[in-house]
Amino acid sequence: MRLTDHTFREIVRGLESRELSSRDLVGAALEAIHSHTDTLNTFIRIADPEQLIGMARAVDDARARGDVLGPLAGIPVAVKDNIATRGLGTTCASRMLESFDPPYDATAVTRLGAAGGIVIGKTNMDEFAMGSSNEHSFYGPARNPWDVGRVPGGSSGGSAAAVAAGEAVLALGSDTGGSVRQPAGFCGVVGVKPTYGRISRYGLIAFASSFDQIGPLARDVEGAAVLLEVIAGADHADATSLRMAVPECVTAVTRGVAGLRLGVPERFLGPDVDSDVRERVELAVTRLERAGATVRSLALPSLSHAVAAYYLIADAEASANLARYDGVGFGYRAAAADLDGVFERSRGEGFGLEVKRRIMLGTYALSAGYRDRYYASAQEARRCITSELLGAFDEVDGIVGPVSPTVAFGLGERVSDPLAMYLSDIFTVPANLTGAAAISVPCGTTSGGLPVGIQVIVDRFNEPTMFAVAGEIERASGGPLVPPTRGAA
Amino acid sequence: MTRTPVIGFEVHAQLATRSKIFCSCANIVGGEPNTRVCPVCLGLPGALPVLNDRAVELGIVAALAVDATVADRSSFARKSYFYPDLPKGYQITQDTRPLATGGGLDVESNGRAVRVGFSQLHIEEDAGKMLHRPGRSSLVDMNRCGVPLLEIVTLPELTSIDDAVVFAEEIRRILVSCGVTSGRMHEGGIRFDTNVSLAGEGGAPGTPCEIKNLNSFRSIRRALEHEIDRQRAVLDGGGRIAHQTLLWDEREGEAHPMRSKEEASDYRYFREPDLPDIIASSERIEELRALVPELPGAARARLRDEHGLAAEVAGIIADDRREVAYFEEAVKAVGSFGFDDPVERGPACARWLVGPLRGLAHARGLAMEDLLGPRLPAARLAELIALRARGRLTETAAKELLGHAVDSRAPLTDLIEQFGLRQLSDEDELSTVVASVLDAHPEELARLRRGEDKLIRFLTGQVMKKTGGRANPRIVGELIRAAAKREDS
Repeated sequence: MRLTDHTFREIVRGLESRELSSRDLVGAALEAIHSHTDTLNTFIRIADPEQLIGMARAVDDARARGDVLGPLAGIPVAVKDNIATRGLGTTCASRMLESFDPPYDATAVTRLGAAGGIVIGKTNMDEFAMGSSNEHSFYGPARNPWDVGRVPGGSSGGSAAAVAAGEAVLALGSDTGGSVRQPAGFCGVVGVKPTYGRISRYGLIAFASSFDQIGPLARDVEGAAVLLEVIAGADHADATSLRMAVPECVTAVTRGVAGLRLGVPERFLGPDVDSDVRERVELAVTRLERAGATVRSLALPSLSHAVAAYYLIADAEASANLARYDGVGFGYRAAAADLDGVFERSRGEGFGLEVKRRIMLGTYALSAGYRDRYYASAQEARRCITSELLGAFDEVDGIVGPVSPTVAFGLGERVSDPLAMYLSDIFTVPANLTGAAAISVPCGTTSGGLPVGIQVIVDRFNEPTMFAVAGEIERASGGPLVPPTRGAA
Repeated sequence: MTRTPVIGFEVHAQLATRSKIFCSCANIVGGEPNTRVCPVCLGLPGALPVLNDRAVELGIVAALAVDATVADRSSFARKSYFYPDLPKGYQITQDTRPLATGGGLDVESNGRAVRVGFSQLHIEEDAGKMLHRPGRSSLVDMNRCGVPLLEIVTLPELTSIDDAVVFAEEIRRILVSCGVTSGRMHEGGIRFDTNVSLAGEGGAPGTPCEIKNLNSFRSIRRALEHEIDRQRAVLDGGGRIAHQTLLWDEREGEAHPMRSKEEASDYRYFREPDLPDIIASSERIEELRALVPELPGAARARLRDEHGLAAEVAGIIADDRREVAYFEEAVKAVGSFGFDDPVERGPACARWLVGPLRGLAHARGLAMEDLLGPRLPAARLAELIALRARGRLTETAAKELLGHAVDSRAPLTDLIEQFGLRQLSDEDELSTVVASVLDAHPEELARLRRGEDKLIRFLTGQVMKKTGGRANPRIVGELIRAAAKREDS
């Protein structure tokens, strides 16, 4: 079997009716991983296959006995390699953490396990989640299952590509400025950045703490909603996790959009957006109107500062978050004659170029004499953007637009132009700056046969509306996408 | 030219919480290196801090005790610098929005009233400890990482070394009496950093230098003497003071300038994104205000004025509010045991607390707090004091009875009989002893009769020896005199 042949609901029903077994699912995932290893490079580490099959068999046996099982029982899930897993290593795709084995599981991983999910392996990513192409990985770039000459997006490129290529049913990614949604868009899968605080960050290795959120990836909206409900909720180990009940997301997927008020920011469909992308998104918006939503245009002028504000704050936080990698307590340690040598050489050799660039930028933005001009004014911009964007939700229930200005670009195309790479985050960073929830859903393919993602942003805490709109988009565009060249193994 | 010292302090007190400030590790001094640690206080990737509310409460109690204004909202900040004992590469502290501001302390130094104002009080985490082994590698112990600290920053308002030491002693006393800290200086429970400059003609401010790591009042005095002499010599020689930070070496009794790299000047403070603001409602502040006990200064005055204690004795008892309460309970009880002179009650009880009780604690290797309480209820001590005052016991016997009273729960009257401590006042009984002593010392008796009156003391001593210290010395003296006269006539 191939995992891409089935929707999430078909898989769950297949397991319940025992037409499918967990053994089948894990076997199919391992086979797909095996056949794509040289082409896609989606995983940094795979769990022991015998152990995985043993776990799958145990679930199948429990089901045969009639045991009550969790909502993800026996389902293979891929986990981004910046989310702590005990015994599986957690590298952040960095030489710095090549041999780091965390003595604990992230809260999201613990909840995944409690729901019966089987962690199949740790996925490739941009080093420390810094990047939009998955090219900044110590383990080499992951590639896009739709075209191996193109990037899968980033930083959760491995998770998005693994789900698209049928190497896992579900995946966890992390989204700091679009790192779940953009690769989901590039790979034709669904990716969610929940409300800030909805999912515990305990065990998520920090990049920019005030933006970071773990987010689910799935081939369809319902799969993403189920995974979100499993891993979301208050956690005493994360002081920033929301102390409120998780709303019903799965039931919202089929609710429809009749009566919903949607807005499209003017600049989201401007000349910077590729015409192929614009056409697909406009078509999806038209279908939403046809399904009963009203659509209006939004000005949101402060969004022009979003990318600058995001990079200044994110890199400032990163410069402190990554200070712990000093060669003393854990991680890569270079031999040196004295203490400063240990610090300088461990960091010099352990971090890749992009990470060092971010640390330099962030350190600069916080330095005496520059802090007011950069970090402080970026915080001010963040406050303006937040009040403007969240204020818009007085008038609309959701904001719709493209995930990225382009479809997946070619490997190596932008790696030497970091500014162009940063600017492509224009549509995704507003949700992170404001704490709002957002989802990326496929809305068809371009004439060149590449998937296009549409984004739905909703007010904080309002994930049900987000899933309702996403479900409608998915149904109207004909259901989940399958990459044409993959899966024939 | 006269130059006045201008001195300020940063006081660091370890808060007496059960667990560390951001994790559940026990807050206990010492232990095998690196055993009281967890992913949070080791700063492992993915671990997150969660604030210990008790640390906030103790901080607020301290703030209220020194009349500082508690902020209704305060926040944490990251202070970045690299050092091996700082596992995250930043310290979580408070910067521009501290727990409390203002307040101050009035102390009495050399008979003058001295006022020291505070700029702020905040809470933060302690760092680990380095063990430098000359010529070999250095070791680091992370047990102290995450121990909660209260930092009090004073204004530079002290103008003499004596005043500075009196201030340091008094702030320690206050924090200990509030239960905020153990105050054990040899364990690093309270540590002082000081800044000192010499004001020029007309009070023109000088350049301050900082001295860190002052762990005893003696060090504070010596370090200030040292530094003031140094600065005076430089200025008198026409030189200028360069700002520097010195590290006090307790063993060598010298301060050494820190390497410029250790003395990072730019800490790149920014708000800690992992922790929500601390909210202190006025209700909560009022609840905590009720926990602020009578401070040592007020207790000293009261013991002097209400109980007639000498200043020195009052100072010893006032240092510990539990001892004050015990003292007052004993004073109240002693009257009900027939101690008739109300003016003498206080001094008598105080004398026992400061003298014999401390002697007993010392002899048994106990702390005073171990004795005061169930081991020796205040009423029991009061009964003993009354027995002594009423002449039922000699001083020697009373001290012996004190030891038995702590070891046993039997009534004091039983113990007196059991150990034969009752004072011998029966004249017939004593006459026999006196007669035998006089028989044994004819020489001395003869000299007494010739007018050498001091021999009364010697002969009384011999009677006391024979009776095991139980004889009533006044009656013995009378009997000896009478016997001497009788033989004369």
